[in-house]
Amino acid sequence: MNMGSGHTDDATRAAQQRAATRTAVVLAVIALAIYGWVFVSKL
Amino acid sequence: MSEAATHHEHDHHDHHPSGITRWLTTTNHKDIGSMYLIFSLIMFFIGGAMAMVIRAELFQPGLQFVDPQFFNSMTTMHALVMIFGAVMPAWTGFANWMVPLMIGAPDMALPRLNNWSFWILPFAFTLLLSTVFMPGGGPAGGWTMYPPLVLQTGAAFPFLIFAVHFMGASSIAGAINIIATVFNMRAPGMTLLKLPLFVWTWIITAFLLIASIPVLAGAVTMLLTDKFFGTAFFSAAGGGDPVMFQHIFWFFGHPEVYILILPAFGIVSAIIPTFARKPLFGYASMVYASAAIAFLSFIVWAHHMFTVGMPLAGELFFMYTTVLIAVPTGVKVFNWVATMWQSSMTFETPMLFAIAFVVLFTIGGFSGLMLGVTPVDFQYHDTYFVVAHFHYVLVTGAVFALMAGTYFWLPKWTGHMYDEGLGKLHFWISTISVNVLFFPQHFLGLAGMPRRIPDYSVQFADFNMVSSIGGFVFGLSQLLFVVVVVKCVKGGVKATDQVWEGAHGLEWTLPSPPPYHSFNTPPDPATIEGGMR
Repeated sequence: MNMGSGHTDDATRAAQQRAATRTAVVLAVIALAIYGWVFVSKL
Repeated sequence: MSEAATHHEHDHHDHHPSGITRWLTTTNHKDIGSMYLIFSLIMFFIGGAMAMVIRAELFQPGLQFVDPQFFNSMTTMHALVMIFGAVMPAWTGFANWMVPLMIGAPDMALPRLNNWSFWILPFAFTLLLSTVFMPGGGPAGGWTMYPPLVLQTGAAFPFLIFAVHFMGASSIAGAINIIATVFNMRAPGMTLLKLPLFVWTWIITAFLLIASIPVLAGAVTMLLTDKFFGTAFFSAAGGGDPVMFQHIFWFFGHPEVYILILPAFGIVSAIIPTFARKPLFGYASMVYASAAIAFLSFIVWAHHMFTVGMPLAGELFFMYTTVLIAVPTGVKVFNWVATMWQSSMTFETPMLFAIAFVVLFTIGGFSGLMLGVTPVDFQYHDTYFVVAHFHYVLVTGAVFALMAGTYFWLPKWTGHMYDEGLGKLHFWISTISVNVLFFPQHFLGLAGMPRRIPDYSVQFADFNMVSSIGGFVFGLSQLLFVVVVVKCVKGGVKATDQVWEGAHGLEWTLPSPPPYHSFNTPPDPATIEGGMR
């Protein structure tokens, strides 16, 4: 993750955007996994 | 001010759609924040109207105005609307407005997702509120949706389940966006331990949302399949277990309580140092206490169901973990008091609401401790004592912090000072009436009045009448809040950039109101003072 770097130029902005998207995908997968696990554990 | 001038210049060249298209398609964090706040205010009044129906019916013993089914529907919908429609979206609105400004970011990390998160909500609440007009009425089995009672809901049932799913999807998307923003978009020099407490409490809230909302979604999906697809997750007749639903629900439900209150801790931690003109006492301990509260919130859920029956070891475990939450919460209360100690306080409206929060939330915390003690809970369970407890925590806690935060940042958002006289009038009427409303409910509960009933024995009549009078005054006094906000949006004395003499933080370095696009160039690291401010 890009901790505390600037966002002045396009390249930095694009890198931040990619890192943010990666963070979002990981968190969404975790949320879906918890949702699935609730079912699987009760079947 | 040269930086501010640069921002104005940027703003001058910004083009955005006007009219309704602007609001439908916007990806701007300030626009989306405003929409969240307006939506939550509308929901606050819809949920409040339902509360007025409840208090009107309970004004006297006997059935006066509504039939019991409709009454039960009002208690259920009031809770769902206030929790998922008023308080949670309000916090997301505050986060949208303030998190990018506080960390020096140009916007939220995922602006399109942000737009989507908001626009799911009107659809979710149209689904939910439409059930009131359906045959059989709205859901009436309580907001906890316990089976088998909830499975008796009529045409409203699938609407309720899908509305809860939509609300959950909106919350998770919002939480993901906030974490992605804070972890990836901070300005140079804004290290984690320099983040304002409001940002910290929101990160922790966002993790709680991501961990707990899918559990609720799983539970209500299972209700849906039990009702329509022949499964028996919670049906004893089919080999399932209805008590299992309660465990799953409260595994979501208790973290949800902290989802509603942690951002309030963040706002109060911003306001008290500003009007005490002192740095926040014990900044790091505040961060660790918030994290400790979040962790503990996942191992206390069964204190909501002591009376359902569980092994003694289970009851002891959940009692001890529940009481343990008092430690990090006490750290916070002592830190706020220590910040005020020997300071140069002034008492503008945000500070009045923040001080009322500290006092009244602590009362709600103490009654929570009483409820957390297992043998005592056997007497209090499902009585008005519980109603009094959670309204002290959620109304004089969460809602008072929302009021405090609105008065605190309204001049920054609008560029005008609000009417201080009307603000103080709103504070005093609200604070007196809310105590008239909820304090007598402690006595009703201790005397044995059950919750969720439209009629009651005559010995409860006096306190119910007092409580209803408090409720009507509190409800009406919130119209004053709308007057103050509308008046401030329309005009007033021009607000300075810093607004409050003791205000510190990046958001106060921007003009009031901030330009449509802010921090396109990152702020000077020298202006970042650190979160203890």
